[in-house]
Amino acid sequence: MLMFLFWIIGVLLVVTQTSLLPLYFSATFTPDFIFIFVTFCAYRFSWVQGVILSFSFGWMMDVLTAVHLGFFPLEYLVIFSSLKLLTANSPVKAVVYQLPLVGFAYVLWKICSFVLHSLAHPEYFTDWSSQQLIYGTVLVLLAAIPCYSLFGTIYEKVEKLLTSKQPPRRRPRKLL
Amino acid sequence: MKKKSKTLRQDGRWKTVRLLAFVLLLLIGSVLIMGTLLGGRFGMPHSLTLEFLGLMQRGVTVANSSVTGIYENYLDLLNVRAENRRLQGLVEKYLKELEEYREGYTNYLSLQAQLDFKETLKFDPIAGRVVGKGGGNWNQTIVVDCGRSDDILEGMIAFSPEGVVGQVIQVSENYCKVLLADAPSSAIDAIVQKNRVRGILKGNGHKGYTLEYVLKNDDVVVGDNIVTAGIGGVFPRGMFLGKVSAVHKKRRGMFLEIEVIPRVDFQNLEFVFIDPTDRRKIVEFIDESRQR
Repeated sequence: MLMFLFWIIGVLLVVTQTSLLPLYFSATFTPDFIFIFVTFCAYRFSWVQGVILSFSFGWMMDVLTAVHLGFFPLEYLVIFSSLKLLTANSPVKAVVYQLPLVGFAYVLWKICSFVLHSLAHPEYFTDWSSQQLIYGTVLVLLAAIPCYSLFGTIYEKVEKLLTSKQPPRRRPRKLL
Repeated sequence: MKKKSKTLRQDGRWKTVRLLAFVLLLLIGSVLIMGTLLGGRFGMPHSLTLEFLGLMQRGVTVANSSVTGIYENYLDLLNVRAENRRLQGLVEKYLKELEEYREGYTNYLSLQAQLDFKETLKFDPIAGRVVGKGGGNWNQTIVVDCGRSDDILEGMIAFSPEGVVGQVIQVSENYCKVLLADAPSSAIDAIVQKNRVRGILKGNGHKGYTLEYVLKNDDVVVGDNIVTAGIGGVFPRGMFLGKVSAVHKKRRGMFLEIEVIPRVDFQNLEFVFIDPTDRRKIVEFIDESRQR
């Protein structure tokens, strides 16, 4: 249920990111909300749910925006897995580290993605822009604060709601 | 103990199921990714995804354009309101200007008519501006800005292009007071222009004039012009006074009761001309010759 709700939120984010935001902001000044959402999934969801969500959004972004298919799901899965591995049973999971880690992951992702695309399609090799990377990172970091707050609130409220609806477990009778 | 072991078993089975599901998902994902990456083909799953997301994108875009349209219309409406206010202001300003131009044009026409009239006169009249009106509700006198310094004397007559206005009764250095022809104390020798029937035109205040001492058998009808008779020397002959508006024939008495509407609009007089002829001398001369 929780995963399905976040899947819908993710779909809405994908649609907003690809149809509504470009109408008002240039690509340079639009934060990558899907990336933020994937990182949030890595912090909050289990492996199975996270993989499904990350793959879904990667797939959608691939279909909607990619020129060369297949990269987005792979990239999102790698981001999700890396963050999941880093945060599982680790103090990095603490809120203090979350946002800087998002920024770090974004920078790494962009560099790796650039290298990957350059290798896969050298004919479409584009110039590297550090300035654009810095812009993007700052925007992602700024946008991550309210997004994390919003997603976290939704996650907790829905989780609470679902827990309260479950019938309480009966204690086994003690045999005299 | 038995139950505990059963739960553990169940947990272990559940973990296995989850692991299998995860592996299956990864496998499907890998197949899809690898297939897409290596094949680079936009297959059916892609098409279905695009159909679904395209529909959503369309919805969002249409909704956005509708909202934007409404917002823009609202903004336009606000602009229209502001524009309307601005135009209203301009209209008011131009109407005021137009009113001023009209006033100026009317003044011009009036002055032109007076100038034309002045040019037709045999004598050289003195023009004066009406600066005051008196006499209470009756408007029996006016004050004109010509006086002794302009050679104005008592007894001179004031007139306008429409006809007789009145007679100068008091003069100061720079101003004079004119008794209007429609004042109840005013009496002018008059004749009916068409048949020279004579009578005395008396002022009747705001009602105009009444022409008295006209015999019942005289031919006077509504619309006849009444002019000065020129008898007695006060007013020159043939100056317009007014038009017959009603003729009453009473059983008793030998005279008609004739109502006359003045041609001069006493209420709205702005300029008058004063005949510089010393009428007092003429009157004295006539009186003296009568006594002889």
